[in-house]
Amino acid sequence: MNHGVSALLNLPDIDLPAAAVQLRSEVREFLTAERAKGTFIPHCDAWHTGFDPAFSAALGERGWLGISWPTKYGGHQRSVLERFVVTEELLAAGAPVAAHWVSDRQSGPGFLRFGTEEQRQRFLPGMAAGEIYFALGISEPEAGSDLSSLVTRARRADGGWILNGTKTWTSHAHQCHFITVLCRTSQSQDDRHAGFSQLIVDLTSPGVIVRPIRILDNSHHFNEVMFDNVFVPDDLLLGEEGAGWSQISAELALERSGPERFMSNFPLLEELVAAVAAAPTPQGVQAVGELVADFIALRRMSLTIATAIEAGENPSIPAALVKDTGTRFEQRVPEVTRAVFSPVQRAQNPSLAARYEEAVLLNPGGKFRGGTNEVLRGIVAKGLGL
Amino acid sequence: MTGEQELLEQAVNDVLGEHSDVGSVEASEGTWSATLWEEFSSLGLTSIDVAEALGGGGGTLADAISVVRLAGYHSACAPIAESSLIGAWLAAAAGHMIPAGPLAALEVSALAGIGAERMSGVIPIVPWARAASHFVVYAERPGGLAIGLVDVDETAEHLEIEHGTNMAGEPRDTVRLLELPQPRWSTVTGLRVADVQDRAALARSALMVGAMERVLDLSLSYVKERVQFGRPLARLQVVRHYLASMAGEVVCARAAVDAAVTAVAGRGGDASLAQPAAKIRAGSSAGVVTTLGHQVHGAIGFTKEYSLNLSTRRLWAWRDEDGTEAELAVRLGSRVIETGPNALWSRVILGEH
Repeated sequence: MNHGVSALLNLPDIDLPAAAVQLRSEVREFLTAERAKGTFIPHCDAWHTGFDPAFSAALGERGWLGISWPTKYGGHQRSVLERFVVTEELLAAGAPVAAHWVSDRQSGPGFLRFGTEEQRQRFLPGMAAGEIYFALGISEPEAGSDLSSLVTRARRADGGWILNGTKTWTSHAHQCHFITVLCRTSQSQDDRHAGFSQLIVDLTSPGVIVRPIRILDNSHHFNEVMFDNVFVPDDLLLGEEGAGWSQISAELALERSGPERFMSNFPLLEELVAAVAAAPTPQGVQAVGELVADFIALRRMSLTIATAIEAGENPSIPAALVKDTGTRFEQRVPEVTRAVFSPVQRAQNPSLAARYEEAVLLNPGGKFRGGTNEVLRGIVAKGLGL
Repeated sequence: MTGEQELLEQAVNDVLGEHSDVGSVEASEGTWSATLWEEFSSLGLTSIDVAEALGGGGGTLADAISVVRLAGYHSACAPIAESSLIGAWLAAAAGHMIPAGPLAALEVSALAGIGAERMSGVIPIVPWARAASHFVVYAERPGGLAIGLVDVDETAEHLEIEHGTNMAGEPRDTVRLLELPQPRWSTVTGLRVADVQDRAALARSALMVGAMERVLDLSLSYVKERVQFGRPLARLQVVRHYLASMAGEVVCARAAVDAAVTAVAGRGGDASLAQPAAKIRAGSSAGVVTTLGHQVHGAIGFTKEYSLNLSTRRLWAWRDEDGTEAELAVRLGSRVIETGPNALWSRVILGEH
């Protein structure tokens, strides 16, 4: 009897530590107060679009960024599960967390795993304070899903590297301080994944040109970033020369399983449930039941993955599944909204209408950012032994 | 999973695996396997999460659910889910020692004669009624659930059991009570018929997750072996994506069941929401998993001689039992909107009160 699948997909049982429960109520209290003060209103996709340095700094001041990092780097040495709780509270509130998101989720952990002592001391405290923001330089005009065909290249120079090339779909490069660039530092004939390195580039360096790319809702957070003979000193190589591919793969697993993969449209879901509660119809009540059922399952998946990471495992297959299933779920939220409420009904409920429009216009992003769902299914199939 | 749970699962797999080939299962369809029940019973697996003082195994709901999931995986032809998770649970709630033999639960709230000396009535679609040594009868009463135990042999002249089956050949019988003398009732305060329905939905979901895992395992093996266009089906991208989608559905359904178990244990979440959610999730996943499972198998999966149908027919039957996705979504949706404004995150999802 083949129980391979069950074993592969087995995830640990969970119990949130008492400290996480206490932390949750502190975070929620803060968010309620900030909303009451008018600091923010909940938006869909705010983890991606809500860039608010003052808000990020306020979170940093309370000790809610870099939460699981060592205290000597400005972190708070708490568990991954405590970070999970803070993250989901921020997402449920639709709070503007985009400024620090990448630093807290990816760049910081990247420094902890691969960075030098000097780099950690230089960058991590500012990240944990919500004051230093990182962007990711991965995709290129000619390399999206197929990252092995990247052509941005760095060549050796006296005391560092000279970087040339173009990165695209770089969120908030115009507002961030640094960008981690995945680039070629050598070429291998046999291994397409060899010869990549990660360089940290100060976005104020001479030769860096940032050009805005507007997206469907007319907002500007994507950019094209050009590097024209940009000098990068030796001490800004992240990790090992030539190990960029495996380093970035580890980061991507973290990027895929977080609650942001199914909570981007939570502010709309909340409006939808409130609107159905105010005027229940059989169709509306059933739709709420279906969406809540899926949400409960997805949250459980994401939480068990966080638990597995806390236990030192690398659940990359379930992580890919969360991203695939989660993004398909969040895309259903606006579709269900328009099935339950007519355009006229929506127009009479301005906050529902606003969240709906946001969700529709930003929805296409969900299924390609962090790896297209099709690529992820390929990863899952491989993990299943196919 | 704890080491203890792993050992338990291994033991259960060994027993059930002996009875899960096409020949054994088909021979027991339309009836049930008393042999399987006996083996299971002798290992003390028929009332796992009932207190030892009442003759149970003293285990957790998580243990019991994992056994039920394996019963689903192996298409067990015995009332393992129904007897252990519903029958024994109700009997224990009323303080009864767990009797030997399968237990079938009968809701009698609406029957004539409740409260009189004898009761009569018809209860349709009772799972495994013909196998039961005892019926656990229950009825909603103001303030609680009245529960009684009926010995089938002792009251045979007052019982008629008309055989029926679901589309997987599992007994779904009609029970007629003919002037049945009232059992000794105990009322369990705070328990409602809705709680029994919720638990039944959870038990059914656990069976379904097991059956879906079996479909996924069979499909994975098949696409690796079957060669078409000069290469295994597993090399075709569309087939690989199908298998990945199936895995996503299985993991999601299993997560929903786990979330419900956690909620029932009072360790996070709201049980009255998480249990119907598990069945909604399992039902909609079953639709995808059976469709894709059959698609990757082609014609062989459509035959009685190949084992895929044991799991897919059960999934099609089970998704209609203890609440369809639509019925349960209405139940769940109603409970969600009753929790009041601004409660979606804190009360519905996190189960805070």
